[in-house]
Amino acid sequence: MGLAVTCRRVVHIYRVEGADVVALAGVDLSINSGETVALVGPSGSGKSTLIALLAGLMRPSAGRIGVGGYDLGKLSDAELNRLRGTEIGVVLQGADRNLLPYTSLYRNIWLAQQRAAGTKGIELDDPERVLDLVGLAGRRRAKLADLTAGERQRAALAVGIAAGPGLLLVDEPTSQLDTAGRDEVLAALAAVNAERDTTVVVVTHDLAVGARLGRVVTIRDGRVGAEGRDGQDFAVVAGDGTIQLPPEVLGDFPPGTLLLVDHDDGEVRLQPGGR
Amino acid sequence: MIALLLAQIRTRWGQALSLLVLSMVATGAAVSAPVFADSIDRAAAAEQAATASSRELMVSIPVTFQEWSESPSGHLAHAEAMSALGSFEPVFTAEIRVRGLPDDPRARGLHRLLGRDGFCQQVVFSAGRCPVASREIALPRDLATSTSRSVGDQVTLVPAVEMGGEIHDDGPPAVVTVVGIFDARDPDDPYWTAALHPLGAGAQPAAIFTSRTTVQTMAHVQERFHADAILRAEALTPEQIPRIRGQIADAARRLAGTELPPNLVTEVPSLLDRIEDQGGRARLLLPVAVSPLAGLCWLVLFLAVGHGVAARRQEIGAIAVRGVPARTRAAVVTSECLVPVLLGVPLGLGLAIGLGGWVGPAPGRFALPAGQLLTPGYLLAAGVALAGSLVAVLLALRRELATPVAKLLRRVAPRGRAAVAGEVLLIGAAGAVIADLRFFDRDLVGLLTLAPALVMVAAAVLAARVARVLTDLAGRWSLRRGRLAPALAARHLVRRTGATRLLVVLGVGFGLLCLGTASAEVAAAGRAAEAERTLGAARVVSVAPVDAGTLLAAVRAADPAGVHAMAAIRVPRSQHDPPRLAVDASRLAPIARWPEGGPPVAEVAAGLRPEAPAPAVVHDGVLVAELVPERGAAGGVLTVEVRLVPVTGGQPVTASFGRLVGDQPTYRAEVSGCPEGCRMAGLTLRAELDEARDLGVVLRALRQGGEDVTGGDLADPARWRSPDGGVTAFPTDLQSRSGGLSVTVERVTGAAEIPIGYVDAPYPLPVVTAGDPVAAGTLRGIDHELLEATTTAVVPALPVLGASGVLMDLEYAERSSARPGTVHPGQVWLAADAPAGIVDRLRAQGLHVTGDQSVEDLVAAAERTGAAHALRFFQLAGAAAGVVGLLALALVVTVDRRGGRPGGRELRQQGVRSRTLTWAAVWSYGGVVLTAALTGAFGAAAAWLATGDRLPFGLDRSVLPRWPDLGAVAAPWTVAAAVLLVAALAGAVGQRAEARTEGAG
Repeated sequence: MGLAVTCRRVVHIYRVEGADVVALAGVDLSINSGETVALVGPSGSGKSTLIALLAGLMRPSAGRIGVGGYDLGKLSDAELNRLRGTEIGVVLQGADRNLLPYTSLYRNIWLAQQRAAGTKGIELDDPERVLDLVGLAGRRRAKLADLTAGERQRAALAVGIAAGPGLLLVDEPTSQLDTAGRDEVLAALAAVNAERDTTVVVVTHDLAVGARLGRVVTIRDGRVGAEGRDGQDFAVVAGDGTIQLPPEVLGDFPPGTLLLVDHDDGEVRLQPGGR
Repeated sequence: MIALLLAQIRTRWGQALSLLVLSMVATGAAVSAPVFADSIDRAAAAEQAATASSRELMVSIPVTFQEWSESPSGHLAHAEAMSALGSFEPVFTAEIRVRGLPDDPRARGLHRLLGRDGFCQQVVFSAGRCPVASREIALPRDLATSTSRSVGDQVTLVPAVEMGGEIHDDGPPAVVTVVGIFDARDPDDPYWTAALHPLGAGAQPAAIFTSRTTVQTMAHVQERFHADAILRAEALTPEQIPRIRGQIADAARRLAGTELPPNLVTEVPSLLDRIEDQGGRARLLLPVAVSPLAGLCWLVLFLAVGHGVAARRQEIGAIAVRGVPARTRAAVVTSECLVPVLLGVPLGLGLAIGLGGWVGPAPGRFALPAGQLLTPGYLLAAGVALAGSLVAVLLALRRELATPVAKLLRRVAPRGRAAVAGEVLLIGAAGAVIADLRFFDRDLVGLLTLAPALVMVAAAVLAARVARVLTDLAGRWSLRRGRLAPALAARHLVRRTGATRLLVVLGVGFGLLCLGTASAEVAAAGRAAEAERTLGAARVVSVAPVDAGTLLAAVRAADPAGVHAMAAIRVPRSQHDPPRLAVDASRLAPIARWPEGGPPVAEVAAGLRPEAPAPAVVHDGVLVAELVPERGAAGGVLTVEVRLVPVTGGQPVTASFGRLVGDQPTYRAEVSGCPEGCRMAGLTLRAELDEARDLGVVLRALRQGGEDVTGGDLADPARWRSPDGGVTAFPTDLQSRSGGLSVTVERVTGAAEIPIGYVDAPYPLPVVTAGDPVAAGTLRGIDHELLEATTTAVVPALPVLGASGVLMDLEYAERSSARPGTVHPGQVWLAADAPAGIVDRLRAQGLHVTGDQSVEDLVAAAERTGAAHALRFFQLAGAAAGVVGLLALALVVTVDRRGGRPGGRELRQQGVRSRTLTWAAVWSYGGVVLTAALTGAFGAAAAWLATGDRLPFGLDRSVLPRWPDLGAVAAPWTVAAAVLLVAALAGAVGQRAEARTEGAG
């Protein structure tokens, strides 16, 4: 059963060499249970920070993040740890970072199931079944070095879904893959979503990947800048009432431009003025 | 989980193996301390047992005298006391005196008949058998020969006693049969060399041996009973020492409760004290060697695990991000480090025990008994080593075990600041220890045994800091000149914390190697110097007791050139007199090994042998004297004799002029015993008077063959010496008067003997002293008589005698002697280049050689002592430190190869050639090794400067050189540096393949 995700005015500030860097500047986002969502945006826009916050790897500086019935900000480190071992699956950027290179895929999946195995009420799939789900049936004895790039990424997915999570967070699963590899990974993600109704959130630079998922959310300057659904891009009104203009529109309005907002019969028009 | 662990170890087997070896070496080092301590104690016990006198291996109850009884008491009191001595071999002896055996000159009519336990096991019968039945006896072969007895002879023995110089029968005669004639199996065995001397010694003849039954069944009155207990060398082990002490105390307590003499006669406790003292002093060096090696192993373990775990942060992050339980995460992270460490412990234990037996003074002899392989001490040491290793591993892993997942997932590990504080603390502690040692003049005991290690580590840390700054400067300089490889290497070394740590580890390893080698080298030089001081020359031949003249003449004849052999006589220290050494000083310079310090030997020898008046020499024939009696001597009461000493040595002879009468001017004396000439030692005036009177005589001439034997010095009183030094009680005056030498002796009475010495040696006798100066009139010559001496030099140490004693010229000492011809055990000192046949030549001159010892013999004996054993351990520790350093380097290279040198990939992507990166690695690793070699040598020099003169070598500090021979230290240092350099280059080149792969990718 998939988990719903809600972010309300989520702010995250890094401290780098004595200076504060705002990574997320008030993200409002709702993801329904069983949805597949792509987070896209330029480098440094805050996609990976958002996914790390959703995974409970970091805590937001402000705002609230809800996953299923949990308010992540109120959970202890141990509870977050337990959550990652049972209900939130995380696939880190770079398949190699998800796998222990010295042991088999079977053993990697077995290790990832250890938390869930000790938790009552959770029925775990056999590692063979998990591998089958991502298209790696029969590779239980394979090690990282034995796999192609696409297989490695699917193996990383297998580890991420090993405990049967309701939310799967995947960071750049198709980078450095060819088209065939990308399709295999996307197929695996689709299979996980279809079979388990797992909510899937994918961070990607690849718009084509986004197009294959149900919903595309653009993160820009630490906020949700736009959202694409059914082939159309929408600007998103944030919780504080702000709205980010699409880049192509923004080109006509340099910073400091005064705009008249004309609202008429459900239509909103922006007119430069005051020069 | 086990499958995971095995997979980890399979993948990183090199690291696992290194950790195992490090744990093994750490455990081995720690366990070696008690193992080598035991081995040292065994060496001390064996050495002391081998050189102990028989009195030091025996406990005796004072001889008891008792009356014989037909129903024997069984000597229950003796048995009760002796039964406490369980580690000893009891020997009871019943002794009665008998007459009846044909006289032995030394027996003066009485022989000892001994019923001594177990003597048949101590002898080899050359004829016959052991006397077991009543009325059977056995004779030592010498006694059988001197009394002309053989097996089967019957002898009638009569118990007898000596009273007032007369022998009285003490029982009825008994006929006994000689059933055996024997030789002692080992005459040096304490069984034979006890105070009883049953085989005879000196003036005491050998005894007759029989069974206790025979003694008991021969009716007699007086009987002596001896109760001895012999401590066998094999029973004298370090573990037994407390038990032996307890047994002696118990025996003494039991003895006090009997009617027997209350005190045991034994020197065993002093032997035990010596063993414990020698072992204790030798053991002092062990912690000095163990502490830096174990510490180094733990440090390398810490660095290796830390280095390895830093390289697998990503793996740990991959585990942590799955939310696995803490214990599972801990097991996966730690087990691949802990399992090799745990496995290393039993291996280290075995290694230490094996080394203890193998490196012992006599391999095999000191191997531990099987039952003592795992003593509590060894297990405790292994436990300490394990605890240290575990702490090192867990400290290194602590960050990765506790770090939140998000931080683990970052590629770069955060830098610690605690290291700097630790370094400051370390350097401060080293400074404090040096100050404590130097200002308060302390010895390296207790916690101060850590001082050398602390100084070395602090010096290595300090040097590493300085090296880092210099490396940074060198890197910038290289970069400005476009030399990319060294610049990259320098940057790598400066920016990477692990590089500094590796530098410290290797520096300490090199330091320990140098310190161990230096200690061994200095101690070896000290042992050689001590051996030379003990012996006095490269080789010393002992000869049977001989008089000085004979010894001098024989040695001079055997070595006419005077450069190979020198006669010497040593007079041991007595209660009031310092030890004296008389040598043929004309040969001292070329032959003696003269201790360093003080004036040169040639100068000392010249001072001992100034010009001396020529001796007056006479030969066989008639000696004519013109003598005029004066005062009360005219009545034929005075006899004049000439004392003569053969120039080739031997006992003095006397030529008498007879009694002096008033009207006879000329007297004749027949000289014999001087075929090769005799030196005139002086005159002797004899008189026998009922009442005191003054006597006088004028010696006007002393001629042989018409020649004045004194060469014209007859009337010179300076050529004569009045009897002083307490030889006579009669005041004597010597003057030149009435055309000759006038001798006046006052208040002569009774049977008087007045010796007048003829001076043919410098007098007072020139001597060289070490230690306390000789007070006027207190020195005794080689004849044990007082003489006047003048000190020509005071030296810090003398050969043989060391820091206290008196050295004199043997010839002049003999000429100054009041009793020439006194015999002493003699020595002939030989130079190192003495010809091979020199000992045969000495024998040909009539000397009876009884021993032959060289400096090499003494050094070899010293090599078997516990102190030398401890030093071998120090050397081993140094070598082990080299291995540990190699391991540390291998670990760094391995981890770098597996994880990729930080920045290497980026540099490749920016177009830096793989060859440049390889050269950078060569500069990097090679630079670390060479820098560590230098900083290690610096650290060792600092440690030696601060603590070298306090290292416990078990030798007199005066024989130890302050600094080692640098060549000897440099050799292993060079080898270690070369090995590590080759390893570093191999590691660097091995990374080239990695770089190429990355470049291709």
